Amino acid sequence: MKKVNFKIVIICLIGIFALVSISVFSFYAKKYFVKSNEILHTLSDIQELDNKLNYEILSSSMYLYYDTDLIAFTIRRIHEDIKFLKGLDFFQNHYKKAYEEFLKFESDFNKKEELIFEYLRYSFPLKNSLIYLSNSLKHFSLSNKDTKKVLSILSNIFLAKSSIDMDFLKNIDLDKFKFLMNSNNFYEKAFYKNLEIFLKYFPVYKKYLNKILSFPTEKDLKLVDRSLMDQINKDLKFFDFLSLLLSMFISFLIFSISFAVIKLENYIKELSYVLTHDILTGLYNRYKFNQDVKDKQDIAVAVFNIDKFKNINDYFGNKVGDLVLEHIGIYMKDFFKKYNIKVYRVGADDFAVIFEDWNKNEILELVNKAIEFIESQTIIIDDTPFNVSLSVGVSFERPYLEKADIALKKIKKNILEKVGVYTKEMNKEIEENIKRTKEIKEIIDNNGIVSYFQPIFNKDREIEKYEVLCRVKIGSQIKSIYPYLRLLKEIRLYHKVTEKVLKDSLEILLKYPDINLSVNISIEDLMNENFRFLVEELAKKEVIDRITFEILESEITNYEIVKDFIQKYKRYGASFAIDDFGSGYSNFQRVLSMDIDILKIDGSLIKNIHEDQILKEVVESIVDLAKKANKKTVAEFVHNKEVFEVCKEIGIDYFQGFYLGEPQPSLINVKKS
Amino acid sequence: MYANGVDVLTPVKYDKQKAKLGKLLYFDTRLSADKKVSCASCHSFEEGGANHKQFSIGVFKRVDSPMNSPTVYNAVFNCWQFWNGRAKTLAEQAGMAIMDEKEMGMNPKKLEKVVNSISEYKLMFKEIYNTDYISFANVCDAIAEFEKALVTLNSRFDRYLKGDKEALNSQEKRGYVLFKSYGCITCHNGKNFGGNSFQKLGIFAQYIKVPRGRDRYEVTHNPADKYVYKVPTLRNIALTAPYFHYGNVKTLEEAVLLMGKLNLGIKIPKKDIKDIVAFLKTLTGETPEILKE
Repeated sequence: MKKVNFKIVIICLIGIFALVSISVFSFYAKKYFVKSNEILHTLSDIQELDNKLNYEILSSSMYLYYDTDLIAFTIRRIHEDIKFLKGLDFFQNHYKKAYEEFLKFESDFNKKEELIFEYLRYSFPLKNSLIYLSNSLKHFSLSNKDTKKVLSILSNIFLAKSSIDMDFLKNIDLDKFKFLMNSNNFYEKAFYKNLEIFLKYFPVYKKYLNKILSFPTEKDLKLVDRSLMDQINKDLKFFDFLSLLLSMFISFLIFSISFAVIKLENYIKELSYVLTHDILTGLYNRYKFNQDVKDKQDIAVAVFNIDKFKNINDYFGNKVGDLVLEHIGIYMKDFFKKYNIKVYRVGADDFAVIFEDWNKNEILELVNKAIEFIESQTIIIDDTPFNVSLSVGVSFERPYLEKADIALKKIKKNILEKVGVYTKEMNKEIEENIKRTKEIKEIIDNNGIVSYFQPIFNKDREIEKYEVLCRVKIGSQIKSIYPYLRLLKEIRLYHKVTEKVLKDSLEILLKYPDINLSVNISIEDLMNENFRFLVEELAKKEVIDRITFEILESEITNYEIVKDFIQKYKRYGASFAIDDFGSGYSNFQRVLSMDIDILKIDGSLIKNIHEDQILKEVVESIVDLAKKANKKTVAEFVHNKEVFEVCKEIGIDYFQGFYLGEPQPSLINVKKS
Repeated sequence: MYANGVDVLTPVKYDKQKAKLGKLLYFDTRLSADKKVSCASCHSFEEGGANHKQFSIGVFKRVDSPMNSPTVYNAVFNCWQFWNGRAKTLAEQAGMAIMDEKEMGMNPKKLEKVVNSISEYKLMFKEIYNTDYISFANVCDAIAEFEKALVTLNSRFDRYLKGDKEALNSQEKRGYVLFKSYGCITCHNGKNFGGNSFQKLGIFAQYIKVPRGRDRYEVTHNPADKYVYKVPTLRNIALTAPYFHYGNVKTLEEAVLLMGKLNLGIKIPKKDIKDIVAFLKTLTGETPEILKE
């Protein structure tokens, strides 16, 4: 996490650096272009003004009336522009070469300005002479010949002035007009003087005009311009380089970020794979199943469960179990791929599939096919072949998995069937369980478990002892505890019943010193601390020697614990009985090896003993065996006289049953007959 | 434009506050070395923005020879200042006049000391120029700003040019035609009837009796520029006697006559001179607003 933060900080810093670089770059670039633009603009303005100046000078020579302000102010504006450019430090510092050339322009322009003033000094008198020469003619009093001469010279002068061509003045001999100076006519005299001025000034005027118009100011400006452009091109290359650098940098940044994003996407892909897949089998997982099922309507879910998978794990280890699961996963996937159906691992050995738009018959057919296919596969792990059998629960309603599971559990009880479809009735059973659980909890909380006592007789019908039984009190009704027994064990509350029995027994035994009791205990009780404490109490109060502990043979899973318990309390005089002996696969050798005192023969063997010869023979052999092992026997379920008689005849020691005495809430009303 | 060669005067944009401050400075004799001379001493508005003496009297009674004081009116339209154009701007001219030892006899340091010691100016410059120290350049700038306001609008001739044919009488109109046909207009053109070129005095004269004074040669050191001067404005010419750079010409008639003789090579008949002078008198404009305040 810290590493990631560090990376983010680095990327942020680089990003900020890039942004700052771009802004600094654009700031300077902008400044550069604004300033350069200013210089270029002013230079082109000067260029334009210089051209205008030339134009104005030509105009001033052309027109008799001319506003010299136009020249003067153009010169002034050029000076202002020059002053402005010289004030720009950027120009002076950055465009050194161009600036030097610009200074050359300035000095040339100053010279040009002087030339212009001089030019004007010749141009204006020239104009005035022209005015006079043409104006004075009317006052002349010359001969025709002289007038012709004057006219011809006048026309030459006008041609020269208009064409600015000296050739027209070449042939003029001023001496030929000297006679005018001697004239008494004032105008004729002035004509000569003006002619003299004109001829004297015209070449100078022309010289200056040519000089001005060909003065290298324009060339100077072009040089400035070129140097400026050279530098600007160089600068642009530098800017190009900078932008390239910057864009490379930004590309790198984008690349880095893209790389990070791709990496992140891969992480997300991986994470989402993990989120939606089961790592062991590669199938989709329960989370994905829930997602897929969430918004779907009219679907069915089948849950495939491997029968007795726990055994594989127990006997061959989890590694083999995992391999089996992997294989089953592959088979499931292979099989359902054809139908475009996804397979999910939704529990340890539960595989689910979702059917969309399939009818019930089609589903059952396909499920059976799938079972057939998978069960036909032999999985070989370390040269050991494994074949699995499957059970399937199918549900058409929400919550799919839970209901398919109910159907599965139901079908598991039936060896012949493999596929169970969830029905409402199945749910009723569950509901019943839930209801009962609530009830029994309430019963326990309200001290609703009550002890009943059923007498056990000897063959003389004398009460030997009482078996302490339990009833439940619901309201004012007393009911059998039998419907709750399995539940109590499931929800691990059975010890409460035993505790109640032991407490009541202790009370009875203390109260009636001649009474013997027989109590049922389960193997789980032996491990319960309260139970041990209560048994210790019985021992301490020295009543334990009047107690027989009845243990169900079928319940004994750990003989050592039972043996230890028996050994320990035998010493205090407690008796021990095996209950329901002969009900299942009784292991005589094992039972007899335990130091027990009494065998309580299972009711199923006794119930019809008076009618069934085989049963009688079975019981006879049990009794015979017991006698040889020095164990007493008890017959349960003695429900009529005939049974009682047969049992007596066989040689059973004690008798218990409704014929002899029903369970009673107290010891008082013992049946006697 | 080319038909006339001359143009109507138009107002020049200026900063009113600076001009007001400039006006105070213009009349302030404390800006001179003897505290007796101001700009107005030589460029008096009672004397057409110039001085009726041939040479003005500067500090410590020094005679400001050899140049006659030109008018300050419409000086803003002169492309260069002084007779020889040695100043390019109004501010430059003001500065040079202040420093001229025959005129106001100061130097920048001294002037700054004086101006900065006057609290009134300190306040005004602070307000207008946002400066705590009044520089020589500030002073010149304010005076120049005031001079921009000294435009004499609505002369009769300008009204005539603008289309009021009745603004000139027939003699004056005749004078204007003569002004053009004799070629006066060749040099005295533009808004200011001059002030936009440098011309030689006495094209037709062998030699001139009056001294050259401070002519263009002083600026360019070009021998051809001897006796070359800035063409003076003819605006308000009737108010600014005496005439010519040396101030030795007392009347307009004489000035016109001399111009014809020296620069046109002709003797203009008396009748024509009268008409021309009549025309020249129509160039007198109205007193600028700023002087009425």
